[in-house]
Amino acid sequence: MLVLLAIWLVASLGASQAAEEEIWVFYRPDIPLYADTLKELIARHGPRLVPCPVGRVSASFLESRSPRWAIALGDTALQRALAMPWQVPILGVFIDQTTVDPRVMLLEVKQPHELQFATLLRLQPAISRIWYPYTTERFAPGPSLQRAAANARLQVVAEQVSDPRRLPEALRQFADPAMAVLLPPDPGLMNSAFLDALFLAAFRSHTLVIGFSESLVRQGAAFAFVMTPANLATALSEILQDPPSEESWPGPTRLFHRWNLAINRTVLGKLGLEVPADLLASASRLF
Amino acid sequence: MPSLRFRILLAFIGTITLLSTALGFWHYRHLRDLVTRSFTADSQVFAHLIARQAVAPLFAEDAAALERLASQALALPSLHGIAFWTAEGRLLQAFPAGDLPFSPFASTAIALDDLPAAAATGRGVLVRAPVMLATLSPEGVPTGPLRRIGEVSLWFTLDDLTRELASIRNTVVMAEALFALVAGLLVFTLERWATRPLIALIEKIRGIAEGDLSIRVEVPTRGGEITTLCQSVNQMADALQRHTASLERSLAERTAALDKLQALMDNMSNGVMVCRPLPGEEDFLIEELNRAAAGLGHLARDQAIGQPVTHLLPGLRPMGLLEAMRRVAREGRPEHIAEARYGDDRTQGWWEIFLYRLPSGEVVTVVADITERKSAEEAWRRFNAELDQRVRDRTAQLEAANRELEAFSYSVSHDLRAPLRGIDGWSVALLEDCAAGLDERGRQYLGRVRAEAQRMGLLIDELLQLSRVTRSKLEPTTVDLSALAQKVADRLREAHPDRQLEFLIAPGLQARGDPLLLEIVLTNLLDNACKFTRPRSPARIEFRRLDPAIDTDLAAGPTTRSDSEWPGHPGGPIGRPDPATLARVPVFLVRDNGVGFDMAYAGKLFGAFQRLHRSSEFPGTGIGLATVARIIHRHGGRVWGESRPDAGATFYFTLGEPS
Repeated sequence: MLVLLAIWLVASLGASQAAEEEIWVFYRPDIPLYADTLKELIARHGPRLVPCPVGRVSASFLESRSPRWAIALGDTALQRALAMPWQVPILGVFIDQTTVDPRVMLLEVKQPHELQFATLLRLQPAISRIWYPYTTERFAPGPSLQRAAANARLQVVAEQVSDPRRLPEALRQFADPAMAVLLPPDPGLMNSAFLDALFLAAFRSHTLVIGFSESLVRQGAAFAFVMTPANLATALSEILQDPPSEESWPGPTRLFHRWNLAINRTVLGKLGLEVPADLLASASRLF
Repeated sequence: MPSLRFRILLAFIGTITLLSTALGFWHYRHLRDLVTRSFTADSQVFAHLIARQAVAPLFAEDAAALERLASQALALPSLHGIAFWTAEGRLLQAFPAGDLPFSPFASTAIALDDLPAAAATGRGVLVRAPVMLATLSPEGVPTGPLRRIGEVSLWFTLDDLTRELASIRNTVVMAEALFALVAGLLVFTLERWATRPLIALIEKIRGIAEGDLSIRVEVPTRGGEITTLCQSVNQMADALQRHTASLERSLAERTAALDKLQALMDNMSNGVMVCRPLPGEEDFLIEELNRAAAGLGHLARDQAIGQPVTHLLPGLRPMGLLEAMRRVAREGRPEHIAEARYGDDRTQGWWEIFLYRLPSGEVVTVVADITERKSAEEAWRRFNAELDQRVRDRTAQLEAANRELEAFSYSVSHDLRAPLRGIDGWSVALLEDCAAGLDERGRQYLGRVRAEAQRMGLLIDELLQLSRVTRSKLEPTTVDLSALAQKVADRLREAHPDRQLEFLIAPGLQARGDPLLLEIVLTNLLDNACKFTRPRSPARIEFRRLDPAIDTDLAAGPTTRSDSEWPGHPGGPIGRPDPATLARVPVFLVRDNGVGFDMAYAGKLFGAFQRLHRSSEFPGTGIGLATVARIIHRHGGRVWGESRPDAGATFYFTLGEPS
C-alpha cells in the first residue's frame, strides 16, 4: 500500500510539472499550413504541445490550468488565445491585426523581398521594374517592399487587379523586357484564372515571375522563397527554446529567416536564362 | 390467289414497313454520321481547348497542373486517356497510365511518332492537338509565328459512342416498329373502311358470277369510283342477262338445229364419218359417225368413236380411200370417188364417196352404198344391150320393110300412072271421037273422069316426089335461098298472071343444104302462100330471115311449143326449137296475108293427106307440107307454122346447126 502511495505521489508530481511546461497551439484546423505546422511542432515537442483548434476549445479548458507557452497561428487563433485568463507569453504567427497585449510576441513571416530581388537580379540583371499585383489593401506594397526595391534599384509598379476586366490590359506591361513580376500571397490572386493568365502572358513575353510557394514555382514562377511547415515549426521551436526574458517581454518582433529556395529550372531554361551554380546549390527544391 | 383485302393490306403494310425500314435506316445512318461527325468535331474542339489550357502547364512542365487538367478532362466519359508531349516528343505526362483495357499511353516509353500506329490497334479515336505559344512584341501584341511547345493527345474510346449509337438504333427501331404498328392498325382500319363497299360489291359480283343474274348492286348515293363501279356492274349484269337470254335462245336454236342435224345424220341413208388425222396422217381417228356409216361397216357406233379408222375398216387402205383422206386432209380439196369397192371380213359392197375437209381440219367422209344401184346398173346395162340388139334387129326389119314399102309405093305409083294416063287418054279419045254420040251429060261425066284421073296423077306425082325425097341421097352445099325463092316467085307469077302477087324476098339469104330439096321446100311453101292468098289482092308473100328485133312475137313470146302440141310427130322436125337453138341457128320464114288457119288444127299441118280447107276452096293433095317436113327433117332442122284465121300464116324452118 505504501508502495502504491509512493508511486501515485511521484506520478502526481510529474504530472504537475508537465502541466506547467505545456504549450498550447491555437490554430484553425481547416488551414493545411497550420495543421501541418502543428504536426511538426508535435513532432518536436511531444506531449507538451496541446492542440487547441479554434472553435473546439471551451472556456473551461482555457481556465482549467495555465500553460507555459501559447502559440497562435493566425488572427483568429490569436483572439482565442488572448481569451486565456493566464499571463503566459503568446507567440503569434501570421498575424495581420495590430495588438497591444503585452503577452503577444510576433514572428514576422512576410516575404523576404531583399532576397527575392537579389536572386532576381542574379538571374536577370536587366530587370529594372517590378510589377506587383494585389487585390486588397492589406497586400498593397508596404514600406518594406519599397525599401527593398529601392535598395535593389528596382521600380515597383503596383497594380490593384481586383477588377478582372482590367487584367488583360495590365498584363500587357509584360511586354517590357525589363519587367518582372512579384506575386504577393494575396488570396485574391490565388485563383486559376488569374494565375493562368499571368503565367501565359509571362511565358509569351519571357517575363520572370517571382512566387512565394512551391506551387507557384511548379506552375511557372522562376523561383520562390518558401516557408514550409517544418521550417516554421523549427523557427517557433527556436523561439521557445530561447525565449526572451520576462523583463524584456514582449520584446521585438522576430523575423522568420528559414526560407527554402525553390527554382523552376525548366522555365528558366525555356526563357533562356542561366541559373548560377551556387544558386542552384542553395535551392532546396528544383523544378 | 390471295383476296383483295389481303393484297391491299399486304401492299400497304409492306409499303409502310419498307418505307419505315428505309426511313429508319436512313435516319439511323444520318444520326450515326451526325453523331460521329459531332463526336469527331467535339473531340477535336475539346482537344484544342485542352491544348489551350495546357499552354502554361506544358511550358512550365507543371505535372500537377497537367494532372489537374487531365483529371478535369477525363471527366468526359468517352475520354479514356490524355497525354502531354513536349515539343521534342517526350512524353511529359499521361493519364491514366495502364489501368484501362487499352490506351496508347499505357507505356510511357512510347514515342510520339509511334502514337498513330499504337492507336490504330485499339478501339478508339486518337485526337492530337499542338500546344502553341505566341510571342509578344515589346508593344504587347503577338508577333511572329506561333511556337509549338508541345502536344496534347487525347484517346477517345468508341465504346460510349457505340453504346450511344446502339441506343439510338434501338430507339429508332422501336420508333419505326411503333410507327409501323400504328400505321398498320390505321391501314387495317382504313382498309376496312375503304374496301367495305368493294367487298360488298365483290359478294354481289360473286353472286352474279355464280349465275344469279337477277342480283343488282346497291348504288351508293355519294358519287365516286365505287358508284361508277356499281352502276357499271349493274349495267354489266343487265347486259349479261340480256346476253344470256340471247345465248340461251341461240343455244336452244343451235340445239334444235343440232338435234335436227343429228336426226338428219342418223336418218341419212348415206354414211357420214368425221375423222381427225393422227400426227403424220398415217391414220385417222373416228370422231363421229352416223348410224348409216356404222351400218355400212357393221360397227358399234359407241365403240367405234375414238378408234383408228383402219382398225375398224381395214378395207379402206386397199380401196384407196385412206390415201384419198390423206390428200383431202393435206390439200383441202374435196374429192369425189364415184364408185369404189370395199371389202373386209365383215362386209363388202360398192360405195360412192365424197370427201371434204372441215375448217377445223377433220376429214368428212360421206359414203353412199351403191351396191344395189351397181347391181341395177348392171342389170340395166344388160337390158340395154339386149334392147339395143333388139332395136337394131327391129330397125333392120323396119328399114327392110320400109324399103320394101317405098319400093312398093314407088312401084304402085309408077305402075298406077300408066292406067291413069290410059284412062285420061281414052277419055280424050272418047270425047274427040265419040263426041257426037254423047250428050251433054256424057261429056260432063267424061270431063269429071278426066279431072279425077288428072288429080289422081297429080296425087301420084306428089307421092312419088315424097318417096324420092326420102330415098334420094342428100348432097349438101351452100345454097342461095334468095335466088331460089326469086325463081319460084317468077314461076308463080307466070302461072298466075291474073293475080296481083307481091313477093318480098330478102336478098342474100344463104344456107347449107341440098339445093334440089330446098327448092322443093320453097316451092311448096310459096305455092301454098300463093294459093291461100287468092282472096287477097294484092297478095303479099314475104321470105326472109327471122329478125328478133322485128319478130318480137316469136322471139319474146311464150316458150316453144312442145312436140306434144303436134301429136303424131314426137321427136320429129315439127315444132319451134328452144330459145337457145333459135338464138344460135338461122330461122327462115315465109309469111303471107292469106286466109290463115286455126291453130287448133295446126297439128295436122304437116301430116300427109291432111287438109284444113276444102279442095273446092283451095285445091291440093295434102302432101306438100309433109314433103317439106320430111326434107327439113333430113337437113336436121325444124319447121312450124303460126297463124290466125284471116290473119295470114307464117311458116318457119331451120336447117340444122351451122357447120
